[in-house]
Amino acid sequence: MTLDRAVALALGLLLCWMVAAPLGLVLLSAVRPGGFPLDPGFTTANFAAVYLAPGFPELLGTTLAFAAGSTAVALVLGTLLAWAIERTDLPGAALFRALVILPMATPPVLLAIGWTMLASPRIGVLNRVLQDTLGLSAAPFDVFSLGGMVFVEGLSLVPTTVLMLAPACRNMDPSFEEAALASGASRLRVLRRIVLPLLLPAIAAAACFMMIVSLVVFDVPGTLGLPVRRFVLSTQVFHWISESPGGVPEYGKVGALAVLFLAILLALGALYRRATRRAAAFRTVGGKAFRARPMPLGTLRWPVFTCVSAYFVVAVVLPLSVLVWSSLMPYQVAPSRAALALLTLENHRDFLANGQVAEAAWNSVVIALVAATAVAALAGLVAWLVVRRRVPGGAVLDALAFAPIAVPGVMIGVALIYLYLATGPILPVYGTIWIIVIAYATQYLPFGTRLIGGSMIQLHPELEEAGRTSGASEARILRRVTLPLVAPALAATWVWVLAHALRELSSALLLRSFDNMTVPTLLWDYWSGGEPTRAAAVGVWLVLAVLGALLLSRLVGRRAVDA
Amino acid sequence: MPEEIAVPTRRTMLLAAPALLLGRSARAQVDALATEAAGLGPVIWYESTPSDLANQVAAAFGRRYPRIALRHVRDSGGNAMSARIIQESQGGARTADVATNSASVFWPLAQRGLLEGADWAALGATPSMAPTPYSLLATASVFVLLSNTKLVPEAEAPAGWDALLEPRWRGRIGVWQRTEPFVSLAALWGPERVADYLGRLSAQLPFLFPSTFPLAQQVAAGEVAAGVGIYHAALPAISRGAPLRYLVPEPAPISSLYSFMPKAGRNRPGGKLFSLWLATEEGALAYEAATGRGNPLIAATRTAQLLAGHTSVEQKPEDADATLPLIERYDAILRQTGQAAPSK
Repeated sequence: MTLDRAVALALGLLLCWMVAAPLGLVLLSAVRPGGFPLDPGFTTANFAAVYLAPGFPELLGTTLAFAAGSTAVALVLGTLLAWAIERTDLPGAALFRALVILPMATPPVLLAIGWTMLASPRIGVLNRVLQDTLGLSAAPFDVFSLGGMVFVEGLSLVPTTVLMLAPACRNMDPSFEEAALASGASRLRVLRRIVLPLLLPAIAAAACFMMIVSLVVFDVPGTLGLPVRRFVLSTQVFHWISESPGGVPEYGKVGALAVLFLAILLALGALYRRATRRAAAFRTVGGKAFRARPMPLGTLRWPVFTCVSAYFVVAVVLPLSVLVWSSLMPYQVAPSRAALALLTLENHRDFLANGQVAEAAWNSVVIALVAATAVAALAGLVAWLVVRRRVPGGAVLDALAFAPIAVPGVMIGVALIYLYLATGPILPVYGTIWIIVIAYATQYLPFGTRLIGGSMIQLHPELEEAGRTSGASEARILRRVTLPLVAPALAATWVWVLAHALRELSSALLLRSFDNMTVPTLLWDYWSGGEPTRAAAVGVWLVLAVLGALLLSRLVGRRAVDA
Repeated sequence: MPEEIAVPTRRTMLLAAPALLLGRSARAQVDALATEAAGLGPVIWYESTPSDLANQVAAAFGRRYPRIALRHVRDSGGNAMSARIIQESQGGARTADVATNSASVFWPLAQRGLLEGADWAALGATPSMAPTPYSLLATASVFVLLSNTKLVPEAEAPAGWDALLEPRWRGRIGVWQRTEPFVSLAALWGPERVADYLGRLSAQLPFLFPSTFPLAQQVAAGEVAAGVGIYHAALPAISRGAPLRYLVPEPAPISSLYSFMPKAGRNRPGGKLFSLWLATEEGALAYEAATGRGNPLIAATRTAQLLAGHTSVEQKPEDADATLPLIERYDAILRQTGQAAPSK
């Protein structure tokens, strides 16, 4: 057995334990009358109850419209941003690159609430300002409409899209664009005919990812759609899990619905493979040396800067300002001049004086660091074996690593509880921070494999072939050739998982015990205890923590490069 | 048959509240429980209050029983508690020694054979405090009508159920997406009258909220002008000066929460002892001071005073099997009637 195959086998076994076993339990719950995997009996009633329900087609239609719209918004804005920041001489690109990730640190439910403060037809400050300024009789924005939901969800996905596309943008040989420009092509044409086709694998990967995320996401539909009875599948899942009349979660129905999500995921995976099967067409990183030179925007420089700045005002400054505003209020109140009299630091003082903060912060940091490192390592290995080494069974490895995204995080948590209760004597992780690490690593693995896989497709095999010709071992080629070239993708994965792990809530709540409290669970304690302004204060500190981690990672990265 | 909880009287208080002071036999049993519990390690308590507040209850319990440690694990709401107890019981792991939740949560657990019964009467509890062997009344949520004091003058605030059906509230009110208050109302009004009422309320296009805490906050923020909320969920905003008022409607639906003990707990005597202590005046006041939620059968609580003069109504916990289809039916009316609320 070659080293490749041995590593693939070991990784396959690990993924079976991490992914296939929990998924199996989720699917088992779908055929249990009681809905719990260890309940007795078999039934198909859960499938009938889900798919033959009278409102299901309409629910599915609304969900697909929401998911497709959100994906489109995220892809269009994310692609343009990634290109402008990474490929052009955009003024302030470094600052934009640092800021783009900030909304990711904020729990989505707080962002969604922030948007009700901004664009609610009744209390939204944007509506009030525009109505007062322009003399409009009706509010121009309605954040509770389907368009409003799509807009907010799309915006929340833009940072992830940028992170997924940025490494691919960075790895593009500028000579393609320079040749086109020298041949008289306009910049728009260069973007359309050169940049976008070369980015296809990364864009396709991002599209698959965003589509599935939008199908299962709850925060935005739960905050903006549910109040006005605009239901999607995830609000139905929330109802089955938290609010079912029987007093016990209807995991059987959730498992049955997960089958549909898995089918959509497999279909998207097949489409992705089809779109990228001509791998050679996307290899932009070859043996020929190139220096990453930004494409001059010329006369478009300041108009592009204005557009990008406008995006940051809308997507970053406005919601984060509302978050800060809320954190300085004694209770929830929309921004206004009159409310300035209520400003207080009490929420921040209360947060910092809370005896549980130190423990929760330490747990969060350890969980985030370990989960981020584990995902980057595992996803890198999966992508290397599947894309670069093309090992037998690579498609299975790829599917296993992508599958967790189709299952709501709560169901993964449920399955993990069973797994680690059963293996308690050998692996005593139930009730500790380590079961949360495992849950996050499982949940975030799909992002890592999409991002790193998309980046690896761009590498021409001649790079590794040159190493082999020079007598280097496979391990040395991996270490000296492949890893440095995919380092931006690995770093982006690490940062993305770190930010998400710092804010993740649903699994942490499900798996919480005495000694594994995290900062988001503390935030949730405030939020669900009727103190959203205190929750906002925690959100502000989370954003600051992620910003600090980001700056630190850049500093370390720069020193490493200098060394 | 509807169950009406009468306005608490001094007599009922004397019977219900000081369970630990009743009779030599009961006291001896309680003392025996305390001795046994002290040797079985900490008592694990699953409950939904934020831990920093629940720890105040644990501290008060610790003052009464210094040799017994109470450790609170926060339940994340909804049906999460029942799911956790089922999983831990099925997985052979330690679960709660005592938990606090509504009948809709403990009843399915009892039906699965996961709860331990107790002879509460022998321990001094009255039938209204212990309606089933599996449960002892701990506290209750009281449904109230909320309104924003800046948007709604006091004279115009909705004071009764019919007021919410007036055209002026169309698109301006919020309700909890769970139809619990209306299920409780059905105990007095009957299922059909409530279904009809709920249909007309849904035609008012109320905002649905996933929980009563954000509902109260959104009334305070002015997103909706009024709503059907829960008294204790409005307290955090009110205590911080939010422009929020509440009125107890007539009849006043309540949702009782009970203590119950999973069989898979390891310090069940401790769980039973804590359940009994929560049902005393000392326990009820400590719990209410921390959470805002009190025991309606203990006169000294703010909750009992709030309900004084009102007809408080709810379904019997032992009728849970019959109540579940009602919840399903009412949920469907609230979720399916009408289109999205108007944008202004």
